[in-house]
Amino acid sequence: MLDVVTYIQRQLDPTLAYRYACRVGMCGSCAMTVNGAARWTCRTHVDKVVRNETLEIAPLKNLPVIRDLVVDMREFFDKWARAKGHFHGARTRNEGFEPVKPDSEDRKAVDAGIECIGCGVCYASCDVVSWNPEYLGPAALNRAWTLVKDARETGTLERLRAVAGDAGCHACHTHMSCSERCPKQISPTAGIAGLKRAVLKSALRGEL
Amino acid sequence: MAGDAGSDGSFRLKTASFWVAVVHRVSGIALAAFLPIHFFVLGNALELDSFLAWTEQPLVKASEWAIVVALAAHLACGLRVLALEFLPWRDWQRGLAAGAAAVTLAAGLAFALAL
Amino acid sequence: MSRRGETRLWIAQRASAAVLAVCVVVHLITIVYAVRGGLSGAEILARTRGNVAWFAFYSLFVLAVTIHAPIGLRAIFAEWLRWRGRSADVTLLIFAAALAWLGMRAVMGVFV
Repeated sequence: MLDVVTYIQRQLDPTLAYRYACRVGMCGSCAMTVNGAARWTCRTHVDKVVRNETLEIAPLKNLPVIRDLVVDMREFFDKWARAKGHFHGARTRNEGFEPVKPDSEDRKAVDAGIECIGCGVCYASCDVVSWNPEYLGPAALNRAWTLVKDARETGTLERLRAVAGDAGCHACHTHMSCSERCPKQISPTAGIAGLKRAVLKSALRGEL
Repeated sequence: MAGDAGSDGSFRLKTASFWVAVVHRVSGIALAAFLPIHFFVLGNALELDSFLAWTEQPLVKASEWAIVVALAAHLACGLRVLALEFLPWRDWQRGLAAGAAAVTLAAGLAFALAL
Repeated sequence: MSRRGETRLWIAQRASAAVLAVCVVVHLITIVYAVRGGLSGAEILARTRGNVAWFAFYSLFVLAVTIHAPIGLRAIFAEWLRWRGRSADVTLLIFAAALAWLGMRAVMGVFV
């Protein structure tokens, strides 16, 4: 699909605006809506998606369109920040490494969700995102989950507060479009379910 | 938790879980609309015999069957949500959508046979 | 509503769902038994009137419904009708009150 879009821009319409970078399925920049489904265009072969000899290429859903096939990703990353999707460790370079056992249940949970590259496919596929403008979305919540399960993290309570409520994990209705479409085989639904349980524990302890 | 591309690499536009969630929601709306009526009629049913006779009418029987199906559907889909949210995450939970449908059908048929 | 309040709604929704799962199964079995058994109105009321256990059961049932249904509708109001905020919450509170009133009226009629 990316070859098709590039051909169109180079040979047919030089004004066409679109995004790509690595071309080899590592960066996620080329995500677009192809025949209704969000996918990486560099990893989508025409054979797999053409229907009735037709291909419809559109920008990602649920995000403002800047021009043609390019969307404004700011809201996507703003929500990442609102979900406290950044790491706060306790140690400095002067202390030793904090040991993390790779086969612990917590670390396995983190590993299942850590490969996210922020491509936006899950966010574009989510019905709740389109129904609820404040909803943080699967990617931001999945990242928050990997940090909640990170043994080195110090900001867990603040993070749980950030992901609770109508704009957070509680708005997920387990449609699982995110898990089905994720090109990295991550299941944000699983992470969000984990957040629901973690928030519940915290709430029952009166911490929230 | 593999992404579920079809055998030809394409994606269906809506997941099975989406449809289960829609059934869950629509059955919930039907129940929320029905229950006040159900409570009201029961509260009036001082003459229970004539009320029971009224319920033998075909339209009432069909509505009862629809309500029981809605109830079974809502319960089955709800159990799926509870399983996904509270049980440790396993791959088989993706098949819960199918399970929810099966349970609903079974309950609806059982009630239809009992009517 | 605050995040803490919304979290509590979610907890109440799941807790009432668990209670309803049990109540609904018991209720359906009971109703099918009564219908198949061809019990008359007088026979049913003879069994239910003054029965403290059933009164308690159905009162719990009504309470669980009063909690569960409005919270479910709240998500539908917000997501499908784009109706959020105080006016939606107050409307749902009124609906909950109506359910509680009509529900207990029915329970009193059948079990007291």
